[in-house]
Amino acid sequence: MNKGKKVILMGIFIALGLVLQYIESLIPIAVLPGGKIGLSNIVTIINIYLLGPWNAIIIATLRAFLGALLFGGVSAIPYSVVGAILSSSIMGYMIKKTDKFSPVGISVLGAITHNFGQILVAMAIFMSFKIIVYLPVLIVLGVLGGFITGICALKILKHIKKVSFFGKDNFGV
Amino acid sequence: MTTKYDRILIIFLLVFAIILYCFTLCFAFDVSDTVRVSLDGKEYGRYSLLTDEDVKIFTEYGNCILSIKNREAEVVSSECPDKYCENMGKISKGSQVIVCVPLHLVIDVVGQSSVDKVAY
Repeated sequence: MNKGKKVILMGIFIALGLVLQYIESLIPIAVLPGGKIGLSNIVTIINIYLLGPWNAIIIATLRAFLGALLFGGVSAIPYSVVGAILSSSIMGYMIKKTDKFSPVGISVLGAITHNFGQILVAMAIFMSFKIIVYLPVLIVLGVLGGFITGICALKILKHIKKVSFFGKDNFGV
Repeated sequence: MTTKYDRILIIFLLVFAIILYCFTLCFAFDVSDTVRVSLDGKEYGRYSLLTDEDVKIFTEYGNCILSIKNREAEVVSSECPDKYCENMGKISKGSQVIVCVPLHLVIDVVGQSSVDKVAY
């Protein structure tokens, strides 16, 4: 894949992630205020397979930054950005280093590291260890959300495999 | 579709969450009758759960009202944009906490004071 094609694809994927984030903000989850499925995680997983982990981390970070500015407000920026960097690097590392996990397992791992990153930021900002009481709920939500996004990513990767535009690769499925 | 390792990972995470939840419940048994309000990591004030009152909290990011009633504390109105803190419900036990990110507030339940803990 040449450089121009890559830059254009990265722009499109940032826009796609932002749209998914907007759609997600319209779906309220009653269990925990602020709980989310993490639909834009689908884009991050596909990016790791298509464009490589480094580009995926850049896309996820920019998407999180813009998404927080658009839908969350300035105070949400550190939470989104740290969560995105942590989850995309863990997912990228796991995909490159081991083939034991399917995209579903990778997605679950990414979702819980995203939540864990946000807890860490909250503990650092509020200087309070007590916020860790949210972790069990966030792990369960992360597993559920990660499973849903993982299934979606798996289905999409199966179709992307057939498109010659993205080059010949089996994309892990 | 999913591999064996995926299933092991998911089961491990769920078991870990349950263990962690039981662990946080252990914090709940100590004598907790005071709500502590922290702003930017520094203590803003302490209010007894035993007396019913509406506490107005003023911060440079906006104001909110903490209502204490029947040994339970709850954020009833807040000037923050997302209103998550209002939806977090009532807190009364040592393991519960309300966080309002836009107003930089952490509201948790603590024992009265270290001196009283010895007396109990």
